[in-house]
Amino acid sequence: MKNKGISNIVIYFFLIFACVIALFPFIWSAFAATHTNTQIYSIDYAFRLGSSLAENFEKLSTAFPIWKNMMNSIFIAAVYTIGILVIDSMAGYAFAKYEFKGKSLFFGLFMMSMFIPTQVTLIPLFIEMNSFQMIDTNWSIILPGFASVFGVFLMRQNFMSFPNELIESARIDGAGHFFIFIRIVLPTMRPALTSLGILSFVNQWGNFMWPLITLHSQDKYTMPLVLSLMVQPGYVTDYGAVMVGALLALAPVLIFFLIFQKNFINGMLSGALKG
Amino acid sequence: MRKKLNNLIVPYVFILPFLIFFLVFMAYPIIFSFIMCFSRYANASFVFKGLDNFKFVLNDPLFWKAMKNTFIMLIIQVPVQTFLAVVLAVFLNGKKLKGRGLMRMIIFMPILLDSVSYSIIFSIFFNYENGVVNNFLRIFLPDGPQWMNVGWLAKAVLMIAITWRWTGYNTVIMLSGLQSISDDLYEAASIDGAGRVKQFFYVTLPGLKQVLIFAVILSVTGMLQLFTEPYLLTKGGPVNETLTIVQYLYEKGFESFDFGVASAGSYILVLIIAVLTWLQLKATKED
Amino acid sequence: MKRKVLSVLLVAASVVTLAAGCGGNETNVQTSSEDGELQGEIKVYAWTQMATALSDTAERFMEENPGVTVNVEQVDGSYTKLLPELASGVGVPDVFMVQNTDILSFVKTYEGQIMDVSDIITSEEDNFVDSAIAACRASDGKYYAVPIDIGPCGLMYRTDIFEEYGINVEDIKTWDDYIEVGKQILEASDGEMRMTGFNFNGSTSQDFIKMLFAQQGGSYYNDDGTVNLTSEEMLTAAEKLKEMVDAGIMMDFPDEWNDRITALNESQICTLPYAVWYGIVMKDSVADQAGLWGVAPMPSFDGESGSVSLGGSVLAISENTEYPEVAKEFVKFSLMDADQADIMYAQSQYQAYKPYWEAECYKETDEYFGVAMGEVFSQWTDAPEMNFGEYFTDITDALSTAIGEIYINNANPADALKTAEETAQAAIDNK
Repeated sequence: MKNKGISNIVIYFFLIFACVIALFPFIWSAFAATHTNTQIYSIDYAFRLGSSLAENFEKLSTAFPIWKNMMNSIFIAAVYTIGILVIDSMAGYAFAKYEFKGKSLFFGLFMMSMFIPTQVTLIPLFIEMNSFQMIDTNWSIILPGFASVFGVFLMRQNFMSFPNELIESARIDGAGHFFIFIRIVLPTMRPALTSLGILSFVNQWGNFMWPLITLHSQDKYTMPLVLSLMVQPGYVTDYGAVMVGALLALAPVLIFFLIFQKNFINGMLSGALKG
Repeated sequence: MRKKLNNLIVPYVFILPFLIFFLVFMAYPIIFSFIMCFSRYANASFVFKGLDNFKFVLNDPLFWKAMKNTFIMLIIQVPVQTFLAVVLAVFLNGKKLKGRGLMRMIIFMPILLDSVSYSIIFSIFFNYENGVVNNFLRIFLPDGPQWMNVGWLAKAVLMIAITWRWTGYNTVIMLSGLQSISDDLYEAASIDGAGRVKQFFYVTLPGLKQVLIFAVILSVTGMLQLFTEPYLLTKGGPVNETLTIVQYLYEKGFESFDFGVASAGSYILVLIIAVLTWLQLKATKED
Repeated sequence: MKRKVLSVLLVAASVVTLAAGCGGNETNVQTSSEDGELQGEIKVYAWTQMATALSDTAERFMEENPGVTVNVEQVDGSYTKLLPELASGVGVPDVFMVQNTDILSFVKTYEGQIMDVSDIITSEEDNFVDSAIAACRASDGKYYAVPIDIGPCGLMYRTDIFEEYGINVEDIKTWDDYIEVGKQILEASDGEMRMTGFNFNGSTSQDFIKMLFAQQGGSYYNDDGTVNLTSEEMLTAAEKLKEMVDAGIMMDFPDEWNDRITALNESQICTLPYAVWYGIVMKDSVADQAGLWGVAPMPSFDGESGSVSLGGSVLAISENTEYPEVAKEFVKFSLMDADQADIMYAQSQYQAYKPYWEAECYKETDEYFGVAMGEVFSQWTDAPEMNFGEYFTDITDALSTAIGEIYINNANPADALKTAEETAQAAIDNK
């Protein structure tokens, strides 16, 4: 019994230590956002509230139309997430519950594309987007993202566990294919959809390389793009302003996560991610 | 008759939206860049070059260096992260644990910080003169190390950063695996006299197998495609010690303007990832 | 059969390319209305201070030409946006900024996409600094860009610290003098005060060695066009720099741009042998030290002329621009019209077009450095010409590895540079 007490202490110690490590950069950067560029590097200021928050924000917002950038990020991530949920659950459902010609061929092709590094497709994609006249628009970021197969696999995996008998009996009752999908199957998929939704949102929110290439005007930039342009080589970085930017970039995802986190963790826990 | 036809068409209707996006934004660019492998692409036209690009890549010491760096980091980082994730998950799975929900949430949080922000923050942490880490070390030691000037230290910085960001995500995946292990198994083991450690090896690990494989494949693929962190944090330095494969490809493509070489290198990487994944799947299927 | 499949794919691939590539050109838009007024809209790419400067000249330009719209976009200095556009031949801006080291490689790689601007420059050749227009002249003798600025270098130093240690800046004539003074200060300050610093591992900047090399009039190429990184001048530069490192007078800046600012702010270094355009960075990020800095001639190898130019960029015009007249006029207006001197000078752009130097602002005393920077630096503009060639990126990549090998891994300079030379040559040979 005594043994158990000690090991419990070890467990709590380990977990609390892990939580501190996980939180440290967040807390540090929250403080850093209130300091000047020189103070940030000084240990004396690390966990004291500074007085330069307003000034840092001022610098950031003169350099970039920051609210516009924020709206772009939100719009792109939101539209992308909704699109992914619709498109991928449809495709995942077909792969889980129907037999059709070419199924394994498509599936193999999709599988293979998961191993292609995104860098491979950058130049051709750029040429394509340009011929669609979409360069420097939100859509140039959103549309290519729909080709990602991760969500299709994830949804297929979850639909597989939905009992076939229920679908059969609904069909015997005369329900149409889409009615069954939308009214009977999908509602049971809330945990999986939440997981996929949060992951897609977070992923798109942090998207960096591709927007750097396709977005051209400052008022079209997304948040990571703004941040990366502030630390470019050959340029003195104002870290105070960068930290304000980083916090602004974090806020929407954090809020989004906090709202859905219960569903999300439950979704992940119910096996939504099992491959 | 009509119903049968309907049944034939319906699945295609379901996959159609995805298929269109896939063909336009994935299949086509992949084929396009495959052609670029064998050519010099400039001014919107191709000049056939045969296998020259592949020859160049395979003979370029820098490519092999990037390969070596990537694999060193992969071989160290993935096991460490997976181990940490399993331990955290097992601890967090305790039924009587206080503050379980809150801790789960906190441990998952690092993934929410976007890759650019966290690379910048870690680069400040590991600054030699004034970074948080060295300032902390100087409390105990005469001086902190020059993180960015020693190859293995710079690699360590990258691995620490990546582990910080991704361990929580993997922990949640592991937790999902743990939840599917039935309590009966633990009870049975406990009746047989197995302690916590034995239970872990005989019940927990085998039960986690599927999820472990999934997480490891995700991590390995992610490490093989590592880009943003070395690009912003170490700039590939010192002396190319943290140059990764994808960064090498990016430099060839977007700094030296050699898209043919970049594409050829990409396809070599694709081949490696495919083989590794196949091996992983095979190794786990056999027993 | 296989070949057939490949050719089908090639055709399929080039359809999009063609469709994408033929915008703009065929529409023959009238660029000036009947009364000769300019009309049209152009897109301009530039980075950091130059973007600000060009936005300001654009405003004046638009005031004078009401029919014209100029959109200046701030981009990053590593061409992340520009390159895919040039590579695909679509979406290219009408006017874009390029480093003087890269312009010829662009002309070569993106053949036919960069406009021959000889008609603007040739008649005014004498008005430009020689080394600046030389960088825009391709092997066919034509000019493909208009030089913006040059980077004449001087020795910036902390007057207060020199006074404190009883050092007379005039005693520093050669790099050996520089090392001697550095040792004195180092000793007198108990090892705290260094002369200056650079990025020992070479991954964030290679400026210092390039400066020492260019100062001796070295060339990165042999006469036959092959890469030469093992010349007398390069070895001398590498070894002199090593001497400075070994003497302990150099600080290491792993992240050169930011670490240098920190070192300046904390008064850890007391000199900066660097280019004039760095002045604005200091005024901005080391504002507290206004009045503490002075300027002296660069130390040299022979004790005579130490003139050297570091950095400098050019403006190029796209061959496919819809409004070639507007683009040319805007470039001339910004870079070859001394009325714009105030704008450029305010952004620390030291113009390559000499008539700018006559402007009032060049003669005004700078409060930060205590002298008229424009006037003082004009004595040091006779830098040796430098041929950057068509593949300077590959040379820079290889050089950055060599720097790390020498100053971090203690490799023999000759060996490290030999390896770098071979690496660069191999990359170039594959093109």
